[in-house]
Amino acid sequence: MNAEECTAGCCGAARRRTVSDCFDRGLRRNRTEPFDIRGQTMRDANALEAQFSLKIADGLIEAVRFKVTSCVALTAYAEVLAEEAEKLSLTSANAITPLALIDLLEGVPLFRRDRANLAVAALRSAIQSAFLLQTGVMNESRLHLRHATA
Amino acid sequence: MKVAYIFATQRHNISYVLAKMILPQLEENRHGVDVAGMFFFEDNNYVLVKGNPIGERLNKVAKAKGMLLMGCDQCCYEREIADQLMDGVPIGCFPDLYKALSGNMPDQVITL
Repeated sequence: MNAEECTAGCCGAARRRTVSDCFDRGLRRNRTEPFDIRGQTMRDANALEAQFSLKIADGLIEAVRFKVTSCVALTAYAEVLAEEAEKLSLTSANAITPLALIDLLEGVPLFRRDRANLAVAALRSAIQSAFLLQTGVMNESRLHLRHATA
Repeated sequence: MKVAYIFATQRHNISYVLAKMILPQLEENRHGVDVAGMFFFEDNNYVLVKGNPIGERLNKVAKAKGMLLMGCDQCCYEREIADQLMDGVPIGCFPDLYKALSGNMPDQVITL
């Protein structure tokens, strides 16, 4: 295999989905200015915070940005969530659960996986804002906003 | 006196300074000070991986003496060992370290 074909971490060409790589990408995304459609800043019991913002085009999530506390696991989960949500409809993105997010990112110790709840809750809050903006109606039952852990 | 050790440099630190100086002294109760905790940066975190012979000895002493062992979380994630550490050994960043030590505050912090 030559270097151009190599997708392993040694060559750094591939967008690997490891905690460390997602943290690096997440730190960059974390420094970008939020879009206009913003969710609430969500806080957890550890005083960590997360807020997502969305850019919507043609009914789909075109881009996602976030501001999160610089916790490694939270930033990495937020980055994975942002990468997953882009190009999805609001409803599809809202269906991403914390458990699905945990499955998407291996290597986080058990006691840090609760960060996925915060990330998902923050994304769902932004989706709620977008949905409100689109329809003028809160459709909470459709978005399952009160059940971020579901 | 109570100290905390921060293993910040790599070279011969774990296999020599920890394994052949500090750890035997702790095991023989003749280190001379109480150790509140140890924090590990960079490659030093490999000592905390489950099955590491030095780490297993260290963990036994830590449990017996109530000594904190903590790995740097970014260092562990970067090396993809964050979920492979010995049972009960947490990873964390500075706020986690300060919080963990706040109930057993060292008089001196020794950086090695």
